[in-house]
Amino acid sequence: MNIEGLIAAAVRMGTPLLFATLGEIITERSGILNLGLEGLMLVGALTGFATSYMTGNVWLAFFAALIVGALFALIHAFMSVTLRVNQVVSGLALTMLGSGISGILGKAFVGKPAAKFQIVNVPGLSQVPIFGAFFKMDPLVYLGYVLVPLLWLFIFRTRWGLTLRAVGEEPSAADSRGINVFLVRYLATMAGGALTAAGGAYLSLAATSMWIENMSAGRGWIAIALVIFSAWEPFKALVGAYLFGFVMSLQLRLQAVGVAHVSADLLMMLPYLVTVVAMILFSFSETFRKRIGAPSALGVPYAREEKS
Amino acid sequence: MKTVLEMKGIVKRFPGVVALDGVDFDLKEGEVHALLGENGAGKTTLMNILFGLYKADEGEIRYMGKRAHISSPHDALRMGIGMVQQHFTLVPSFTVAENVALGVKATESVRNIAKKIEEIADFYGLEVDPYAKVWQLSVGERQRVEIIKLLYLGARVVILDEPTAVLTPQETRSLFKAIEKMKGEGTGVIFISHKLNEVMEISDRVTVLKKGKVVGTLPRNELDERKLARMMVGREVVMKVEKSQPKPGEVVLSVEGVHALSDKGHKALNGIDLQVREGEILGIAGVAGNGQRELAEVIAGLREVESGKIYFLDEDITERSVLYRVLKGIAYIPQDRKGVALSPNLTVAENLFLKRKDRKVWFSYDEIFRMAENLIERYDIKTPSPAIPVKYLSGGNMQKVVIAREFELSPKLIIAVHPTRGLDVASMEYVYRSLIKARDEGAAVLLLAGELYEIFNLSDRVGVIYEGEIVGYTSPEPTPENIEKIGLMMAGVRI
Repeated sequence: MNIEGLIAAAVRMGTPLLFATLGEIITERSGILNLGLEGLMLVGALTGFATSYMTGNVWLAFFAALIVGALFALIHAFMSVTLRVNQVVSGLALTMLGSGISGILGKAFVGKPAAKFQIVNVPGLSQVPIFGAFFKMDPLVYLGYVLVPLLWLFIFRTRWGLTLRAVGEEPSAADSRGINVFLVRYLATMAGGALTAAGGAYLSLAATSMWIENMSAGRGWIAIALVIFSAWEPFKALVGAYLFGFVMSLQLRLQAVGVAHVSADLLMMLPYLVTVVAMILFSFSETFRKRIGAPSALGVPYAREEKS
Repeated sequence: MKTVLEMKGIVKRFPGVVALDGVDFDLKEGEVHALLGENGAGKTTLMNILFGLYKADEGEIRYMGKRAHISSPHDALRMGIGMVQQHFTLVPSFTVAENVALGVKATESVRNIAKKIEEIADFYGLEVDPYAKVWQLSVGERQRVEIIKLLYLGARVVILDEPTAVLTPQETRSLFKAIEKMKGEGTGVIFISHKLNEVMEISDRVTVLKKGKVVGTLPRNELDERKLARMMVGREVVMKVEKSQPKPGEVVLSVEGVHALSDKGHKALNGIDLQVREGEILGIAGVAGNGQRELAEVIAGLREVESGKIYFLDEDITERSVLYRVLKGIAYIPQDRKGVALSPNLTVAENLFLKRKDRKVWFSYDEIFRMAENLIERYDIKTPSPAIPVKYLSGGNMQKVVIAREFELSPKLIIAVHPTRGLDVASMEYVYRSLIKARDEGAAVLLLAGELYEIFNLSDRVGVIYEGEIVGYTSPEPTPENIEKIGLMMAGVRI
């Protein structure tokens, strides 16, 4: 196994996770917990694939996935912000809805070929030994590289980011400062949905060029764990996503070389096992949760006129 | 002086109650207008409507002579109306400057805002570090941040909802100085309170609300504390509680060098020592959050002791269970009525029955209803029936349920934490008389209260708690020297 190959595989496997994780970071920073990532990724993957199949334009396909993802997340925003439904339930419903819809509508596309994002070598950088592996990728991977610092700047260095965080930390404080808590939460949920769907679209537009039912294969859940892992920070999300991408690609490679006496099933469990461990660590204690910086109002609906 | 604000015929209904029933209220430029009333009179509701948090069902608001439509805090703030709510609305993980930067008028850089904060703080005497994180600040400092937030926006009307409830006497003084400054700048201040003496001191006019209606609006020079109290409750209230000389006997409770942690794992009790004798009330004064709650919980057996000993009638009970202590005669009136003291969804009768000395497995509802009716009668609990969930009772009547249940066990020690918080004057009197009666019958009472007048009214001795230790004792006479002394001790000065 050469190092460049490992890096390339880790980054490619990690990119859909990165998009979904960044999306959920935005959503959760506003205090909305969206457990519908798995459904959103599937919807994004199918939208992307279908558009690419019909038009042959991969960029158009990618943007279609963004828009459909935002609209799909709107369901969750309406349920959890306006109706103040339990967000866990609403998110799970979104996952089931997403895998159901994409399964039915996707039947027509199974086994069909479509256009795919091509590898673009970055001049100069891609020639660097080892490190160059990061720059022999498709455009969506580069988009991921750019998105991370941009999002960090947005969250921590702009007033909109300040507003977003305030809404997630202390909605009543934001409200009393004239911030429209409901609007911010709607927008954050939709933006998060769009990015998550982009992660799904990566699977059908860049990683492969086909549609397979349930092709996200639990990546939505891994992304939710990654959000916690990343302590709601984009740069840590990047590290986490690529690390998981590495674990996932390693699993494939170990299978390929046929590591003696280890069952393939066990190896396939590896990424999910790591997810479970991360989740256990997270829920271990309230103090841990506080320390790693979970938004205080995460999952708590906000209502102004409440008489206790 | 020009009238800035007028509210006319405001009506607000909540499911099952009319919270405001045609209320008129107005405010002039540079005036402090106090809104006085018992709890549940509708003071906060009225101001929540003005600040756009609630929608009025009827009535109109006029601001600067024009009809104003305020449907959110955003509208209110843009017009120049700001409110410091009882529960602070700050983001704890943000700095002071970031909190001020939030929301409307969002154009300046945080650094510029920090500079402005310092100017405002200087001018009004509201000292605070703009770069400190809010969670590191004391309650008094947080309140200053709230006020600065409004002044930064250039608010012309500042609503302060029970601002002194959380302050030390010294902090109250500096708040009043800041209010004077605001008046000087032409800012109108609406001061919500139920403390008569403060209202008399700071306000130019007073409006008294009772059960959602205005009893009257009068300038200060036509008022005195008795008249205000009469307006508030509709009858003469004995503000000074009558009580006989204490006859202290044996030591009932002895706490020796107890250390304990708070919920957050910080040091809450720091080697505290105290003794309470039978037939006396020991009042513990202190700024909220100095270990009062933890002290009560340690004695009641609800919190683990790190080190030190607790003796009850010479018996070491440090390691004993809550049940053991209850059976031995320790009664606990916690500060949280709905939740710790009572189970809100259980009926009055069931709540009264929750603590009983006989540990029978089977019980009959006939029996507990009979018992409950007896207690309801004797303790004057106003409830339509013993079979309604206790959460539907008023705060005062809930407290009566707690007192009935606890006092029926003839406790030898009563721990009372903020026993009158949120109660109206009549219920307060009831609680006072109950505690004094228990004392006269030989119980030892440990009273932990934030309100100084309560401490002075009830206690036979006064101790002051600061950072988990008793810093000193005084006699319970409310002389200026004693108040000064307590204020200093509450701020941590050992005398």
